[in-house]
Amino acid sequence: MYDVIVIGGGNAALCAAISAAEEGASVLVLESSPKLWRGGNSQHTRNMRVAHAAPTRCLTECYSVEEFYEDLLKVTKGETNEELAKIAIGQSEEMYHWLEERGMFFQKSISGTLSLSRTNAFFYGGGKTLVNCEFQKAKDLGITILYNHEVEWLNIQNERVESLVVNTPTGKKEFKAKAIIAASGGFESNREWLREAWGEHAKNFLIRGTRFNEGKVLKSMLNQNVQAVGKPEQGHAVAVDGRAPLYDGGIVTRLDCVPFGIVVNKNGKRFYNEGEDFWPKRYAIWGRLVASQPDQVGNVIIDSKSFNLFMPSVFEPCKAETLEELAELLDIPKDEFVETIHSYNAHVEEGTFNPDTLDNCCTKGLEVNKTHWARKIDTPPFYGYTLRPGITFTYLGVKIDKDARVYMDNGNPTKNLFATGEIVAGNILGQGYLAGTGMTIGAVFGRIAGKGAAHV
Amino acid sequence: MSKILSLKENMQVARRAMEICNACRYCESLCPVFPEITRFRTFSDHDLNYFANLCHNCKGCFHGCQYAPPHEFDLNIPKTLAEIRVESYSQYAYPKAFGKLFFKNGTLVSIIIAISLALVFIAGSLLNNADSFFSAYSGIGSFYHVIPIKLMSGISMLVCAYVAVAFFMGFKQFWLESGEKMSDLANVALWKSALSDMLSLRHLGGGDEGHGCTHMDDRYSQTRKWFHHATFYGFAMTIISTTIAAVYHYGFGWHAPYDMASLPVIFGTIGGIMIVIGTIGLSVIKVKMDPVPVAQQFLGMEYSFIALLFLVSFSGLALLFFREGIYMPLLLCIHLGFVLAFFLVLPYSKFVHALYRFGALLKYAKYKEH
Repeated sequence: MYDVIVIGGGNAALCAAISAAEEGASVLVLESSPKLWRGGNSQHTRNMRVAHAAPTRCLTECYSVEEFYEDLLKVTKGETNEELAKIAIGQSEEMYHWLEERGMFFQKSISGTLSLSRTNAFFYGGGKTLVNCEFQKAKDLGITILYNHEVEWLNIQNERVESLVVNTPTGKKEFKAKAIIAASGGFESNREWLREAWGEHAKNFLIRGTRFNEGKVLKSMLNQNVQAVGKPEQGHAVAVDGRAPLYDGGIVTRLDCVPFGIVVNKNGKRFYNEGEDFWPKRYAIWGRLVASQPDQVGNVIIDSKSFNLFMPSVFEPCKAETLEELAELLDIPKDEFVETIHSYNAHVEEGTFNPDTLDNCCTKGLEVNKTHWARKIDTPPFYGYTLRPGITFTYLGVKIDKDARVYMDNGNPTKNLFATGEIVAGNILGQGYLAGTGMTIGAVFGRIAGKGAAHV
Repeated sequence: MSKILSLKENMQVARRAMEICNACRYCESLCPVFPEITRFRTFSDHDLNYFANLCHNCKGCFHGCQYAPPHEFDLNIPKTLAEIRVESYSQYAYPKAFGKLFFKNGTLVSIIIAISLALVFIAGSLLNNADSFFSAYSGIGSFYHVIPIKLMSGISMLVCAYVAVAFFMGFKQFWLESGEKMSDLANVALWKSALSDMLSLRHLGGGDEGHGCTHMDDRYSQTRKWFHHATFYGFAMTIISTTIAAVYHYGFGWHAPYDMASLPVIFGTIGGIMIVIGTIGLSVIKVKMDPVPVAQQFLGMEYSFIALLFLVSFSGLALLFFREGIYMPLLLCIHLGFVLAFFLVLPYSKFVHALYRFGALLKYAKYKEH
């Protein structure tokens, strides 16, 4: 029998496993995916938010614990557990060094990022390289890793996990350990559950991350009176290219062109101010906006003036010499579409266009005005990109305390169950999103959970 | 094994891959290729050839790729670029008709070795006498009892001149096609930067981050860099050894064989041992490495070149060891046969990676500040 079983194979799970092994525990990692798909959503991440008092090799200037906490309060609108948030933030710098000391590499950020080098430490080669290095470290520490092992049920009795029921390549098996750490992610790859939580329109959502976050571990816990945290309908969704793959589209499915054009729904109507603020501050709301449109689809329309202003997209845009042709390519009613563009163009107030500031190019007098970067769409060729909501992760999770210990509905702590990663992110991110914070939470509480589990 | 694609298909695969990389950019600090592609929005065949030669084949971008197979995007950058790279060697080859030699390279190298050995033995037996193969010689000029000095130096000068022309023409084509002017090469700063990159193998060592490369599996290590260094600097030392020997011979009239404590022997011996160690190390890595991010169809070119380098060095060391006894004539012919083969295939062997990689680093030096 192992001392500790870690459920999951992403950054949080591996931090927990490494930490438990370093405390002297024998550790087993159960990863539901095959080896080539390992790493959960961590393989699609790129950085971790780190508070730091002074510049480090890969972080510029200073980002105080207080400032990090304020940023968190802003995005969550106060929906956070202050104690846990302050632990995650307070230990983030220590965690950065902890990872580095164990062979996980960080890099200086160079380009194409949202100027995050002050607040976020970038993984050398991205999240998949981070996860690879973590698996190597785990192997070096003698941790056993079993792929294709999907935990389906936690057998919880008297507030103690007695055993795990696991689907393995050779059938259903039971695993036992002195302590269990759940780091198995959210439920965003489970379409049925998504539909239950988010409504019928969830059928048209794309999943930006792993296909293996089925939420079985989460559901098993919630079905046995483990205390939940966060709302099922809370999650992080952005607008992504409509042609992205159903799963694992990751970073390249993003579209950064919204502020430079207009967005119309399938009926050819605009529905929100595209130029409200800089894209990095707005992209997260567009998932919701598009989700609320008919058929959960939007179309960004730009003309040739704007084509080189944003990061290149991985999918070819629809391109046409006339607006009518573009409407046809995008399958939007022609007359409404042309009317929308003409009326938009007619209300554009000429200004000095500047993509680097909140400039004075705007429309006046429309039902939905565009407040910055509004320029007439009049220079062919015209381009159209389809937008769909893309889910990054869900927030529904389990309640933990400062020791990463999971709680029961009756308020009692469980005796041997810990959790970290996306499955506990809702403790701190009640709503909204702050880039790189999920990785910070997973790593910090992973280390804490590993330590705690090793000494149960 | 996956299907072997035509050049046109490879270019298409690479173009698509670069577009995905350009939208992702997670690999930006792995090597110069990824920062370079951000200068582009579309990619011509010449651009792709440039990236292919700039790529050091460290494979970090494969193991760290969220879009590598089994992902439906099916990105395998090291393999795709390796295929384009060899195609580019073939396009730049001089004379053009010899470009095809890159595609059956293992066979080519084997045949050239066989012919070269035969020629040297024929020369040894015709121009002196067959008995000389079984005699012990010692003292000054002993090698020339087997192969006359005039023949030895005459052939090597001819072959070297040919190699120099082939290299120059190939490099020129690479440079012009990549969109640069010959006059750019007057910029000393480019040479300084590219030489520093080459001599330190900075990008095989993981750039300034310095984690090495992922040559066996997904683990970073400097092993491959050190074996390459051993091979490269070992080779450089044997060239230095030969050059000093030529100066001794023609400048001072001091004839081979030289003392164990002489500069040609010291450089040659250390260089030879380094090459033996380096080529064995590199071969072991190739045998044991993860086969997925590798252009399998061109491994013959890699193995045959490494093997030939090993044979040249090992036979050289054997000759040094046995030069006083009756085995010297045989070993001399074997060594000279391998050396002749090495230089004959040089412009159509894996060796040209040095030429075009250096060219790519020169070009990279020109743009990296932007």
